[in-house]
Amino acid sequence: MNSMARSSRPPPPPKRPSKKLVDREALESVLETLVEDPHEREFIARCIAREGPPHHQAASYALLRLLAEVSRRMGAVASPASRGKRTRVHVAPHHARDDDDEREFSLALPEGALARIEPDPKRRAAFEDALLDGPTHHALANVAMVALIEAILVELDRRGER
Amino acid sequence: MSAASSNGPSPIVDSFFAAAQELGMWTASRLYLREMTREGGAPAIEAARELLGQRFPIFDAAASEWLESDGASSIDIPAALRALEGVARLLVVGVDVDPLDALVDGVDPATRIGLVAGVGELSGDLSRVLANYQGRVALVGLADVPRWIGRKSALATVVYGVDSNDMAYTSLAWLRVLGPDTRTQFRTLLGINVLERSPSIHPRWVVATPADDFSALV
Repeated sequence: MNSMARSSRPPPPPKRPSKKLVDREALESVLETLVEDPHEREFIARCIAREGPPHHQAASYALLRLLAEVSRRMGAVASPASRGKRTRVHVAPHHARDDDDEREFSLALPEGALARIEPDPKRRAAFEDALLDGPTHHALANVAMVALIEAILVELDRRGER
Repeated sequence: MSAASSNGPSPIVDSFFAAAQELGMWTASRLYLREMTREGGAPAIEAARELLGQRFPIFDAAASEWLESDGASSIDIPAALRALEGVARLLVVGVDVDPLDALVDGVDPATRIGLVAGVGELSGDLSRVLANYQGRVALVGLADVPRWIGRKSALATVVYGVDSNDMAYTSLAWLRVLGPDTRTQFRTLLGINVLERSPSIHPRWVVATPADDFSALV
């Protein structure tokens, strides 16, 4: 086979991450200070690490583990947001129920996080909606990442670093 | 419908089939095994396996375990109830009455309980099944499953053994309910395994699904 034929061959596709790549218990540890209820924490970890496309599972897992490592080294502790928008359990509008509180995951977007980059409330709300929209695994990973980043930034604020 | 019609009349086959339609395969098996133990002990059970085993592999597997364990069951209801702690809505998928009874008795009285059954599976007169629960358990159609979702909601079903390839045998209804959407809509996906080993005869009344599809398999 000549070199022309080799160069025209399409590159191999990336390997599909295996389920063993992601350690759900390690992800539960990352979420430990963010979600108080252990059953709900396990649920959120499962949604991020086991549901959705495998490359999203692996990518979200890697990013959250790295952010948690930065937090740990800095002594930053992410805590549950007492206020702030939450990821909703996706459901068609005609299946709405009165007790819609249960249709929200126990993981909220820290209210002040996006104010650091966007002072205008309407534009900030649009960013929040973008982070919370889309497939459940994606939205939950977004919120968890913002919560960890906010904890790091709070720690930097405390140290007076600008 | 007669389960025995193709090979001539066989009262025990038809009576077991009728019982399994309303009680579920495992509960009906245990009921028959209790009666056979009283009537004739192990020889009676072995004789029944000859008549029923090929047609009803879950009976065959339950009989094998019954003989080995002297009637003890490996079902772990306390572990199932631990997995369901804090659940406000419990949707049981598929009929097998003994595990369902245990869940109804064991969960918090405030927990709402629904039953999804008769979805392409073996099921008898569900009104007779539900009458035993005096309004505690509501029949839920497939179209109404989304009304039960939430972060304090759980799905539960019976698993009839897990094979060497980590495939769990469960009801057809479970596969109709469980999809990529429901997996992120229910906090807990519970499988209650009633058999220590998977049936040695292929259990064609039920279906296989990866065991790790369950968030808890007890």
